[in-house]
Amino acid sequence: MRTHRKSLLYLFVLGALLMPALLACAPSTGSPGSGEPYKIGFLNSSSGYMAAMGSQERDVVLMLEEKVNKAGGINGRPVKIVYYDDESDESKGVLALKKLISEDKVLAVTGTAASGIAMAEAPVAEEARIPFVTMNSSYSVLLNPAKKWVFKVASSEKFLVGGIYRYLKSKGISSFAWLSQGAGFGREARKYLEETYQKEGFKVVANEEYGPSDTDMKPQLTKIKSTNPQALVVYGAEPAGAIAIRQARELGINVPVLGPPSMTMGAIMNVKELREGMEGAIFVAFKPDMWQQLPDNDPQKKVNEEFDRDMKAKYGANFKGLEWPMGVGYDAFTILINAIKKASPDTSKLEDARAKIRDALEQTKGYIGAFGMLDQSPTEHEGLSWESVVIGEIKVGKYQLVK
Amino acid sequence: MGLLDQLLQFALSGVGIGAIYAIVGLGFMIVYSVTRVVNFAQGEFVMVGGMLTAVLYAAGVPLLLAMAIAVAFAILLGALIQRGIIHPARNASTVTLILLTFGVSIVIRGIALLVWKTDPHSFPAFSGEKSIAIGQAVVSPQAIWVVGTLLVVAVALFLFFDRTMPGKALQACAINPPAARLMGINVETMALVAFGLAAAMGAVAGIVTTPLTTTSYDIGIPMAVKGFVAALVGGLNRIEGVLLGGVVLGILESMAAGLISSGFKDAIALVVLVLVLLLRPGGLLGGAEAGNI
Repeated sequence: MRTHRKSLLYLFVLGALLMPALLACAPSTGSPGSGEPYKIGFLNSSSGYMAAMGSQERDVVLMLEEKVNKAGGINGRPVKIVYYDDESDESKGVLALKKLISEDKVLAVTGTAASGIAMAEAPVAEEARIPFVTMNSSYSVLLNPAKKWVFKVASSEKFLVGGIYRYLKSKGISSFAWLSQGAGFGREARKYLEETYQKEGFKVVANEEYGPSDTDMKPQLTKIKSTNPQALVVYGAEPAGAIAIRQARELGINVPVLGPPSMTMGAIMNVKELREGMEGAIFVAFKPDMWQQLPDNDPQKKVNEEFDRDMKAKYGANFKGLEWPMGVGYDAFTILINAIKKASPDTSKLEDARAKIRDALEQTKGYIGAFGMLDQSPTEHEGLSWESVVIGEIKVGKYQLVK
Repeated sequence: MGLLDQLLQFALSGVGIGAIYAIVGLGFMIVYSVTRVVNFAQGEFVMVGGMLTAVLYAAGVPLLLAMAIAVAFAILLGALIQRGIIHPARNASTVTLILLTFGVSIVIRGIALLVWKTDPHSFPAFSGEKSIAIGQAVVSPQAIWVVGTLLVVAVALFLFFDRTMPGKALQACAINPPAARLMGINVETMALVAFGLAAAMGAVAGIVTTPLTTTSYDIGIPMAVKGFVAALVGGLNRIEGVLLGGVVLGILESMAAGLISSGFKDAIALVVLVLVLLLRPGGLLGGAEAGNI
């Protein structure tokens, strides 16, 4: 019996010693306030063909979540991100969104780099009356019918294809061939092209498509070559597009090659063989990729500088430099945080809170972000300015600012 | 570029692509002949071969050494799969075994995704990028390497089966396992050899095609599908059949993409698969297993 009591004593002392130790091990979150966290839903592609873009945007959002919480959260309440991977698949994306809305009961949702997936998800958000700030490009995510709850920050066809039109005009080129990716993003651009090229005074001598995972575009390029275009537009977002450009050169298509910014993503640019294959190609571009080359009086330069610093601080050697999808992630998350701050909603009344955030988003004015400068309103849920668009060229393997 | 020139280009591109399908198909053929198992992890050997070479090369390993290591690793992987999964399950039905290989392919793909993420990888073409002109059509030097490799592999395989004891032993297992066993051939060891050989071939296919197409964690699936169709078209048991099957598939794909639309390209492989299974299950050249798949 004496041993029994002695062991009890030892246990008691042990417990008394452990408790402060446990408290010391508690995660130090600065002082994020004691309020209930603001839950924000985040969807993107961590696997599948959109994974490169999706994982970049995810890294940015996680960095910003940490940064915001370290600084005390929003109005003293921490931010909590609930993330699901759509696996680059539309049905999985829609299911994940539904889960975020009804099971996780988030205040708002952001994410989705893939236009096809965003277009499937948008009606779901609209019907559930939850604000959804998308990271995709196609403008039609906001249309058919005009959405009241969906917002976007990335550039749409008006700027991407329009940027290509502007460049061609500045070089006096009036006829070109078009080779686009045969899925969401590429198809939307093609639709835009078909609706606008005549108005803009262009002649499209060839209009071909390729699949996102194709590795041989020589058949389509052969057809294109036979039409003798003055320029070639390769509109895609995967290595396939880069391979297409290289194969175009191999086939002897030596006219200027243009493309959208998705073709210069790190995943592609970091593969030497792909980058070299795109030498001399021109791209509609955005500032995050070349922020160091911007003039000092460009208001977006400072934003990107700080952004770059923060990413380096969190990811160290794994961070290979800013790219425009990261800028999109940054802007989407930031305007959402700003809206929540402005609305300061009562999270116990979910529907009301969501509506308040939506209203606040519509008041995003004069926003200077990493990717773009935005002015939104009840009738304009994108609001990107032409000032955000630049032109880049791959010269000697490096991405150079041209305009 | 007139239509004839275009057709020539399509045909040349098709042969280049078809050669890759044929090498992968040969891997299917070897394993199927000896074990009656359709190894759906065959595509992953292609991925591993290309990926490992690219990653090692990027880390500074000389290209040839990187390739050798990649092939060795693939052989090890093939042996592991045979010993660790196929052999213990050898009394299960063929369908179960095939499903097992499918599961293995998913596991390998998952590990590749974790280790190498989704980025594409590549390494330099063996003899440069400058295209070679054939009439009005253009062929890249690497594509010629692919076709050359296919021919070397096919001939080597033929000589192996026809002129060496282990090769003949493998053939014996393919023709009649019980009889082979009675003749003193260890059928189980032969199965191991078959998997190792198929893995090596898959890796070689991956290595020789990566400079053309880049490689990433998920290229195994389309490779497996196309390679399997190539093998099937060839009858799953004859080297020249698989070669023919691969080339036919490659040319059909190329023509479809060029003349109709790129969307048809992937459908072609499956259409061919269905047609062959319906009309000539023994493959275009017929074979000892007509109707026996």
